[in-house]
Amino acid sequence: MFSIHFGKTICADGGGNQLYEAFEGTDKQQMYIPHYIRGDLDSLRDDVKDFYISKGAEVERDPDQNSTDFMKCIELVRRKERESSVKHEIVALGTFGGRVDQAMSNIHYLYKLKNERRIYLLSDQNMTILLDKGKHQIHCNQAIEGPSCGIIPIGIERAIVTTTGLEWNLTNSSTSFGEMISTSNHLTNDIVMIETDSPILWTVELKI
Amino acid sequence: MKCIELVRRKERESSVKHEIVALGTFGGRVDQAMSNIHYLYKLKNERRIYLLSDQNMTILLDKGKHQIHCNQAIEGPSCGIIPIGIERAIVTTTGLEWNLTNSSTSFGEMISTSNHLTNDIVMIETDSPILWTVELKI
Repeated sequence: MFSIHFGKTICADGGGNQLYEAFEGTDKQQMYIPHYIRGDLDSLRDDVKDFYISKGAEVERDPDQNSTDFMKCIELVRRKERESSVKHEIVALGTFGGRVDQAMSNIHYLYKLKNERRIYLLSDQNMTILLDKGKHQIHCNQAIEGPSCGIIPIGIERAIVTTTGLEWNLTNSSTSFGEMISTSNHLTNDIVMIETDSPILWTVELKI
Repeated sequence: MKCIELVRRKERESSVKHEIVALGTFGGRVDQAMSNIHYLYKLKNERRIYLLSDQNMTILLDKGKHQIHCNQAIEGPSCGIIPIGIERAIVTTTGLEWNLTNSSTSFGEMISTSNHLTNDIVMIETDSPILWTVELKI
């Protein structure tokens, strides 16, 4: 099992159910108690809520229908940062593999919050981040990342991209949906350089 | 694309035009899912392709006005309109819980996700190609 050590863990509403069900009936259930559960709580099961509260989780209901559960969790992070003067990166789990519109919403937040913080979108098969306009050096761990990877122009018509460290590198290549996007590419180096004239997604397969 | 080539060859042999339903298109690797969406755009002038997974149906809607006949017994309620391949799309809808009216949709500003079908007939008008995605209850 791949262990990730986080500062704090927050479940967005029904994410609490998924966490609970992932370890239900195992001795690991006690090890994975979220610090917070937040959202409008229209999905969180009562028995799950009661269990996590009994184990010390703070459950906070925010009924505002103009904000998603994800943004409510972001608001919680911001509040904690103001209280502690510590800036956090965010790793979001379970972000792909279910509803397409929810996956797209998660990508939307990468763009919406790109000037505020880096957010890593994880699923059991991928890690996806936004790379803003400019030059980026990505340090990969090929023991758990790759080989498959991709560069995806989202939120724009096209991106001009140059890379090194991939099997099929791009050189001032125009990437756009319908013309050419770099998918099923492969890591060939622990260090990947990506230069782009527009915000793009970097997505890499995870072997966990 | 090799499978698309096969379909084209069969069509030339039989003079029958096919729509394509692709299964298992989401739920695994993100880059492969994006590649599937890429083909919707690449082939949009040739044919409609339906991207299916066990939780979703996703299609491309080109610039213009579209009337979508939903079967609420198996589709929805969740649905979304996603501007891919463009910076923004101006969209108007009817038949959804939160309809858009000449709304500007773009990643980072606003995209319509976790919307709900409220009618078997959904109208979507867009000034640019967009994705229509709807939850499947199968």
